[in-house]
Amino acid sequence: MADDLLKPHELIANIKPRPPQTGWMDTPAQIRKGMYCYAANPKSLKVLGFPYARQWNPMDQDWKLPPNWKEILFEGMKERLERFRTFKIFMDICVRCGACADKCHFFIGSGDPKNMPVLRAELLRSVYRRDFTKAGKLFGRLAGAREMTLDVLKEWWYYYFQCTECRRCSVFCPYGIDTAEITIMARELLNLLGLNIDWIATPVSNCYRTGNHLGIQPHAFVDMIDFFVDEIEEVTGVRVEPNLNKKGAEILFVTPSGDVFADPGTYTAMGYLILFHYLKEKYGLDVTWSTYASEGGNFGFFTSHETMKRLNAKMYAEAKRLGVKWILGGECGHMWRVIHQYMGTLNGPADFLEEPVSPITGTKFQNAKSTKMVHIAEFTADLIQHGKLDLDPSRNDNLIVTYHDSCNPARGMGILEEPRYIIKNVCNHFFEMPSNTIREQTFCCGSGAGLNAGENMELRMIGGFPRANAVKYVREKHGVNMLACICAIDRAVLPASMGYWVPEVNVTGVHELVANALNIPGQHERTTNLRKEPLPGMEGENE
Amino acid sequence: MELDELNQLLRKRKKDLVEKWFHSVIETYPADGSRFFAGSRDPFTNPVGNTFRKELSELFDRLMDAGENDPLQIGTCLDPMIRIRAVQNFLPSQAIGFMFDFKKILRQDLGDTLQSPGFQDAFVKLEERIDAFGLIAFNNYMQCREKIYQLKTDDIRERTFRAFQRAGLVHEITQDKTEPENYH
Repeated sequence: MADDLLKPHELIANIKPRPPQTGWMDTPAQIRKGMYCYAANPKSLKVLGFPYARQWNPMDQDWKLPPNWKEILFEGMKERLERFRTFKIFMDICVRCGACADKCHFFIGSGDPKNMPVLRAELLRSVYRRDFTKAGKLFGRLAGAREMTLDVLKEWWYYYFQCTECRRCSVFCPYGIDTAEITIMARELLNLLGLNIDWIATPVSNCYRTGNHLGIQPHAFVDMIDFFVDEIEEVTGVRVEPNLNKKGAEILFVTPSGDVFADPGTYTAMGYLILFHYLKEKYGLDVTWSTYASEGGNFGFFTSHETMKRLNAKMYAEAKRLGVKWILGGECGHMWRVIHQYMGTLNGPADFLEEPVSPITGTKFQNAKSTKMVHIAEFTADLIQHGKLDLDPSRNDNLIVTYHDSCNPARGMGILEEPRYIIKNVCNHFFEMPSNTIREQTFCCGSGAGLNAGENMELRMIGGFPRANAVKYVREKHGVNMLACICAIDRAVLPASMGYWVPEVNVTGVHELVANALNIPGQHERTTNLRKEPLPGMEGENE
Repeated sequence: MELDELNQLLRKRKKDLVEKWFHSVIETYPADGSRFFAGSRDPFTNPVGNTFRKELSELFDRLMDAGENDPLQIGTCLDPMIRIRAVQNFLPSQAIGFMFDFKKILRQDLGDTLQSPGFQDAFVKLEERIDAFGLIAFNNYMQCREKIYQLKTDDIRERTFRAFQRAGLVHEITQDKTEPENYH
């Protein structure tokens, strides 16, 4: 840190900040600590067979690029423009109307113009124009074109890892440009030069080898499930008996490993276990977990299409190996964008699976006809709708809940009503945040798309501010003390965001709330919730 | 002239003064950013701009309230603004510098009036007050930075703990059943 300290004369000179007065093309990115994630560990890149694995530091002048890096990028962009029609269209049709400009949580929080989605896309588009359009080649800057330079490359890296691919900007684009897809392409191109971040590369490498981002081996996964079983028994008096890798089970359950290994997601994982036990006892539901398909999340999505496909394949492979009828998916964010928008064609069609039908209610999940994978919020909402769950919402009476629409399930697949329906049935106190911060217009947690590291905390806090600001409002107006969500990254990162902006608010998954309200056959008198906090009216019971 | 009188005079000009103060704050951001912060009055889609508008107005009232101010209350009022600037692209001096900019705004606004007899003394007192508030802002800034570092540390500690746990290196201390009951 000592090298960061300023001399007195420098301090005085810097007291009044002078924002750059130059145009964006002439203002190189200033890479600032706290705003970026560490460079990828070369070992992780090697495991995946990615090129140019090396030690490098974003703060160094020399990024140790291959000598022909410009050629690699040119060829990479050319190939992708030919392969992806959307990419070509998105490069051409933007009229720079600015409708997206003030919709990004990073811009709203930082005021940095290069966080405006239009300008972030322009970083790439300007190079595209110069290299791939006649107007750009002839008129250069007049046509919004610029040459690829080392400064431009650094700018790409800095700002394309300041986008969480949440797609809020896309909702407002009159042309329907999916700006997330531009970030996806930019990251693919950066990957060609070995310029990934470690928070993405290492989870991807772990997932490729052991089946989940954290690199948990099957026996450790079982240990964690066993731990949950003990905890559940302590809280409810009921010993649940989950199936693991059960061949011939009717349904395979896949959820993000974050739920199994990080608080408060662990309580959501216990929620799934309790729900499945209840359904098994009451209706004979036959669900199995898998220690091999032990990750619903897919950080490959933040790397390249090929990597996304490689990681996604294990779900199908495991479903086939176990001979299940269909797949049930847990509360996750980007996992659902991959499933809903890519899986059917990435590794599908999964003809060996059946079109999902709830064995309890008979509801046919027609939206999952292609992917054969159902979101647990839809599954549980359907159970409640048919009166199949014995619920006592008063056990959640100490909670005043609001709901954060996790970006990908909300914007990526339209899961808007189901989580709310569930929460309203398992909690008595629910309040919405302001309408322009929820549903399709929901604000990102600020740490998605692989940006949920620790070293970029300032970036996370800036990006998380618009969401936290809306939570603060319902906290002050209604006394909200619990923020529910259906995404494992949300559960991992919102506690820090709340800790900084609204310290009195905790974070939960929806199925933790379900399990607290669910009456399980054979349960003893419930005195605490899954977090072992006293239930309302039971505050003195254990003392 | 007493400080009270000066404050009364300034209170009448509140709207104008707070607006100038607001603009001096948002001018510390790049042009596109400051235009946006100054624009929309929706507190949810423009939380930074609206936090500054709201809290600077509140802070103005506290500055003009000549009575004893509780530093804690002033800190509460400053917190939303400092919390934002503590994570944005600013040096510490830049993050809280807007507090002291208000002195310049007042001087420019009062102009020749400042030369009136007795005015100087009252103005010096007001400036001292602004300085005191500025120092409280520094407390807030440090609290925010410490929180950020705590969050970073928690993150690393949690990750390390989990890694040890996965490697089977973490064992809870359980009561050994073979131990005599009165063993302590």
